[in-house]
Amino acid sequence: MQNPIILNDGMFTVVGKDVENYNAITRPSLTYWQDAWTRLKKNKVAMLGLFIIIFYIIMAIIGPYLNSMDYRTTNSTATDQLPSLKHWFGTDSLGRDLWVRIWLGARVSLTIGFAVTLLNQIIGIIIGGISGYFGGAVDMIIMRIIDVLYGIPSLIVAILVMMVRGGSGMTSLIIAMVIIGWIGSARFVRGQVLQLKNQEFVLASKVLGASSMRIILKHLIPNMMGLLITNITMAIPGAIFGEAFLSYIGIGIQPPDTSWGQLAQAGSQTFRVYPWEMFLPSFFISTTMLSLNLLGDGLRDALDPKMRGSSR
Amino acid sequence: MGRYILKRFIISLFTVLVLVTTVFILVRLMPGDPFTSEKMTPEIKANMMAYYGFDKPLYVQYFHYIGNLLRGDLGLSLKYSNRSVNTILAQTFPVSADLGIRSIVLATILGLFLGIMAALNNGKFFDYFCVFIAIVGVSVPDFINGSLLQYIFGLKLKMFPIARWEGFRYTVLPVFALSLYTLAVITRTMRASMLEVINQDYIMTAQAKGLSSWQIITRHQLRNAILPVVTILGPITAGILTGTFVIEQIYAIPGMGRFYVSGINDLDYSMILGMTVFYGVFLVAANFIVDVIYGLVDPRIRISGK
Repeated sequence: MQNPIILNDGMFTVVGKDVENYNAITRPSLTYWQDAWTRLKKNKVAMLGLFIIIFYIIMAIIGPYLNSMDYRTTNSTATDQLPSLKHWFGTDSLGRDLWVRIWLGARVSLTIGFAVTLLNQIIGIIIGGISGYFGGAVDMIIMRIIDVLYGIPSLIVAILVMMVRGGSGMTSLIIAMVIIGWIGSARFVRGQVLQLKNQEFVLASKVLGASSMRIILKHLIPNMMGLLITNITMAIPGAIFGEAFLSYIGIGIQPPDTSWGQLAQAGSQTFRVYPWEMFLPSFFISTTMLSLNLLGDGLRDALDPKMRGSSR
Repeated sequence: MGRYILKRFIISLFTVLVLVTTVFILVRLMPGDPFTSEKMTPEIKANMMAYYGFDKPLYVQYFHYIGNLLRGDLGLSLKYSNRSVNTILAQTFPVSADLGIRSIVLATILGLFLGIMAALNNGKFFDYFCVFIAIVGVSVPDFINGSLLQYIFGLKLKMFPIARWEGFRYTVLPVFALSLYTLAVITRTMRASMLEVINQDYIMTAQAKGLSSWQIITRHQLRNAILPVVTILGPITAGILTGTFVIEQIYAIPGMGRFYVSGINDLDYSMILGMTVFYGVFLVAANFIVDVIYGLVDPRIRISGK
């Protein structure tokens, strides 16, 4: 057996209290959004998608003014041309400049894509929120209506609404796609609200006397925001596809007005001889949808609170 | 289980009723009438309207239509005189169904395979390859890849015929074009759900029991991972169906889609109505079957009966 070690004061030195840095936070404090942004920035593929989308939006705004062509002036001596110094993207079968038409089309297609998605989400949040939050008979009625409408193919309803509105026009297209397009979002929001509304922080807020309005606006919606933003990003390609589909079968945007779908439709008429006129709008439709999907994937990872603090 | 099926069935019936009513009203709200493009005197036109029953009050027409519908009669086409919508459907539906079924089967088999293989090779080259295919597949609309395939393999390489529907070689391009999107969606869903299942406790239990990895994959992982794929089969059928509109146009396939689109342009009331109702009922039925299958494969529903 060893002798027990005898401790005495001489063996220790006082390091003292660093009162200044007592409560110092070693890592910078980040809000949820800063944290998500940091993670998104590390995802190169998603950032590329974001960059392409921003580029297309800027070009949709300024592109048509960059050369001196006009979107509706036809020129029978310069039809079906390939890109040249005068016509940067070539010309269509009526000799109209494709550069200008592509970016004007981008305006229409992107506006429809964003507007339809936003409207769908807003209506979905309101209806799904009411249904999930209040429950009971209201929920019962709304859910039965949604169950019934869910089985109806939305593009077919969109086709019929376009016919009733006399076809063409951006407003008609937006109405046609929103009319039952909000259903998916309402179902999603309802599910989220059901999950959130029984959690402790909501109960605490209720005990403190918060009104339903306040709970919904201050607690439920901010907590769903991450998933909602991901959903919105993933839904925009669907709306852009919807416009392109309707214009492609000939009941969307009508010439001389234009959209990517209308350009693809016009290009498909002559594409066996002049494939370029079909490929060009196809390229823009596909890369937009691809970029948004990549960005959406990145956002889903970045906005997931469970991923917080992890490097990827 | 019986209660679950009954509930889904009643919802489906309501869906059909709402669909028929909505479409009936929307079609009557369309500007113009089916005879505007034909030159005829007002008397003849009045006679035509009376012949098809359009002079009666709307609600009479509605109940008349519902009555006929219950007997399976979709009415006469207004454009193709003396041909009923039923006859046109009988000619064109088999072609569209053929195209659609081939596409769904191809997409499901290939999609499941790629999704499973991607998940089993998680993080390796094959996984990235499948993820790439999946994301490109959901980003390219079917009218674009339809035209692209036609151009590359039909016009340039001359490997397959570019149009019509006359034998197996004719089906390759349109079926592939139509199935690409669905294939991508299934691959994505299956991969994600396989990866989610693999972290579940029951997989660990199975490993602890000493099952071989093959047994774990087939008996535990696959069975559970396939549920989310079953739920998306409904929307997938809807997607394939609207996809046939454009694919049939691109490849000049004599299916329903072309008649539907031309019916819209001609304001052929009974054609639009008949075809939409047919599409709608078909989809609702497909959704109902999917719900029943889901009930059968998901033990939580099968046993609780909700």
